[in-house]
Amino acid sequence: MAAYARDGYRFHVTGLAHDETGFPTNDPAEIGRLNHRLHDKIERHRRDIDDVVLEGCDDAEIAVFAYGCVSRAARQAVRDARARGIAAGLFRPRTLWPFPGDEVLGLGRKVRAIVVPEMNLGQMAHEVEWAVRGACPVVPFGRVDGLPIRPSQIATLIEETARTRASAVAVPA
Amino acid sequence: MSTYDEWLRLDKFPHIWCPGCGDGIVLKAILRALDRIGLERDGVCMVSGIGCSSRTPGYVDVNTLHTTHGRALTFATGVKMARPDLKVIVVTGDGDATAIGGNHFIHAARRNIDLTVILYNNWIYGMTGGQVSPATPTGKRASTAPFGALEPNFDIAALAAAAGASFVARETVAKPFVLDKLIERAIRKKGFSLVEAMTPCPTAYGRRNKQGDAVEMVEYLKVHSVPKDRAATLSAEEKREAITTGVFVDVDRPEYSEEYARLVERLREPVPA
Repeated sequence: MAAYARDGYRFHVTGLAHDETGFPTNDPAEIGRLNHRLHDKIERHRRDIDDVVLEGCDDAEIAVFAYGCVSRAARQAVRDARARGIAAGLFRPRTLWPFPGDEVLGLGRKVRAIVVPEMNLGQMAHEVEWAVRGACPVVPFGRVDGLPIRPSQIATLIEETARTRASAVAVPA
Repeated sequence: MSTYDEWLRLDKFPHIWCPGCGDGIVLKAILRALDRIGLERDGVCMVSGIGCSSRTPGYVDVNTLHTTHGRALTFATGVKMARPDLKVIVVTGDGDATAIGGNHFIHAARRNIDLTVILYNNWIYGMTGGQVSPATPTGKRASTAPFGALEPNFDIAALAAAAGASFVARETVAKPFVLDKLIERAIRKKGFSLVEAMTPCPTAYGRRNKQGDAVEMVEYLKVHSVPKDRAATLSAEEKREAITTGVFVDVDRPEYSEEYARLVERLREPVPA
């Protein structure tokens, strides 16, 4: 595509559903084609878009799925849990759409449980549960009193989950 | 005499505007102004938001941007900062510019960035179904104000003037050849300039307010127009429905994109040892 307003190429850009020449259209066939093209483009480039940071997930028994600022507390909690002998791992998506469902499912098949701390009441846990499809239990944890989730809260959550949902094995130091 | 055809994308006609809409009159006034100034089509960028008026750029064969609701000025600011060589003209409406885009409007004026805003004021959200806008006069009916608008309306030209615009004018489509001269002055003016073009919407506004057909609505604009000098002599009662016209502001102030370029130059100078 020519650079905008350069070299004598005058063209129209619209924020509305548009035809192949860039002008708005109300033609359902055109709009359907546009939306499918945009959607397929995202799906085709999933590998370039998906961005997940893992820590200690290779041998983890309890995984923490944490997005955004909660992930920093989760990282600390995972390290603290490991120091206490619990095989914990961090699954930290840096992109949420498209949702890294395949990766979450793969994780769910390896671990005993996934805990999902979030500053909501289960919006993210629901998405993780959907992706895991019953491969392992998903343990939600929500804090909505206006303060950020502390590493100690997540560490406690990991320990409780390890005790009740799985027989955690000691990690070699 | 030019037919102005070279300024238009004739393959995009017929336009979407309703019979009796005044938007086409404003479009033609813009084209007359562009033609008279003698601008190159490649050197003009026309930016709009959402609404009936904002469909204007689609018909004009310059570099055009039809953006999101209320954000014409933000996109236009980006264009001007990236390409100060372009003449950037913003086409917007009363709803687009003073409701959802209200903050962008006052801050663009405050910054005094070199944009020419042609604001079509038809007192209503026409495209979406006749909802009340910040410009709907108190007491007039809209689909969301079936008993008449309760709120006082903005005086948009006064708003721009108070916010710091360099050039502010208002005219109605009843006087298209005055309108194009004001648009020409606004385009030539360096800094933030606004021309508030009063234009009838028979479909969404006139029908609900029993203002008659398109001709009657243009007649209304003509009859209620009061040049700014004479407006000062009107009583409060006479002022109520008066549409004050003329040039309200024409001052020279530092322009934002130039000030920015100067700042960049200054920071590039080596620091004295």
